[in-house]
Amino acid sequence: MAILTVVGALALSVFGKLLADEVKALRPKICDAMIKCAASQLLPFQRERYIEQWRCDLEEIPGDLSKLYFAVDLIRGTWLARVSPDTSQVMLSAIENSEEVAVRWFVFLEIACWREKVRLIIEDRCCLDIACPTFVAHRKWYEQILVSFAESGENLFSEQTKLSCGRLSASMIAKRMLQRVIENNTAKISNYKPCADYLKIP
Amino acid sequence: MGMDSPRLSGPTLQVLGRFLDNPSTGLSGADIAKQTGLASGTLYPILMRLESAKWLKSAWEKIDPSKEGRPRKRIYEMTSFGVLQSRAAFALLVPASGRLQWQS
Repeated sequence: MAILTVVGALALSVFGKLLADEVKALRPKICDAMIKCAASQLLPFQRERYIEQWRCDLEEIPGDLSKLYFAVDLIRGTWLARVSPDTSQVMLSAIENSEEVAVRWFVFLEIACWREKVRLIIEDRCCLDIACPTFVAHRKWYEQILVSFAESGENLFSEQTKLSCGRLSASMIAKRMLQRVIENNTAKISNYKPCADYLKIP
Repeated sequence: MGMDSPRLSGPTLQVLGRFLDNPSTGLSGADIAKQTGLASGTLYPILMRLESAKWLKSAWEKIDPSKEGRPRKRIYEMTSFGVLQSRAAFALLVPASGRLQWQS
């Protein structure tokens, strides 16, 4: 019996050490897979940001077990956030908020009803350096829309920046986002009727 | 809309308290976790809610990861709106037996 106990203890210590070494070696891959799994619960435009953020934060956690716990708990947290109506609404709001704000400005300007013209103007006048007789009066509102994206739609903006891999300028990304807002809100925009013909393409 | 007030649970108040101690200081998620002792699964949804409600804002650390030899952090800062809202929320709380509770 004593021999069996000694052999068992030896086997346990050897295999325990092997197992610990294995987990230690595989820990970065396991944690990374868990982080990706946690991020998959988020909205697509949030994923890349949080994967990068969590990878960085994980590195600051001391100890392999603590790192594993950090990654496992992320899955729990994001899953709960996903199923909770309170939080899932919040998770949606970054993109929705930016679009809402932009649409409100469009409506305020009464530009929204000419969405095709607006789109053309934005395409043509992206840099806004050339005086545009019809659009220049609303330049400050256009700039505010861009500010809104920079603030309210920051996540979306970051995503677009990364997707473009530096190939597109910030103004081009903003233009694409504006187009997306217009396209996504066609129904809302089309409810507003033109009241003046001051928006002419030069 | 994202401007709705976030639910002020105990852990949320802990996070807000960290920022209110020094509103101008930026903190990474890891810093906040260390200071509050909150688990990642609790902390990050809170940060998402607070950011969405515009109480916090975040930005990537302005470093060159290749030079620094580490990945860039996401730094959270409290907005002036967040400071006002948090102070107002804390003003409604009274200490009771070493813990905070809502005023009746």
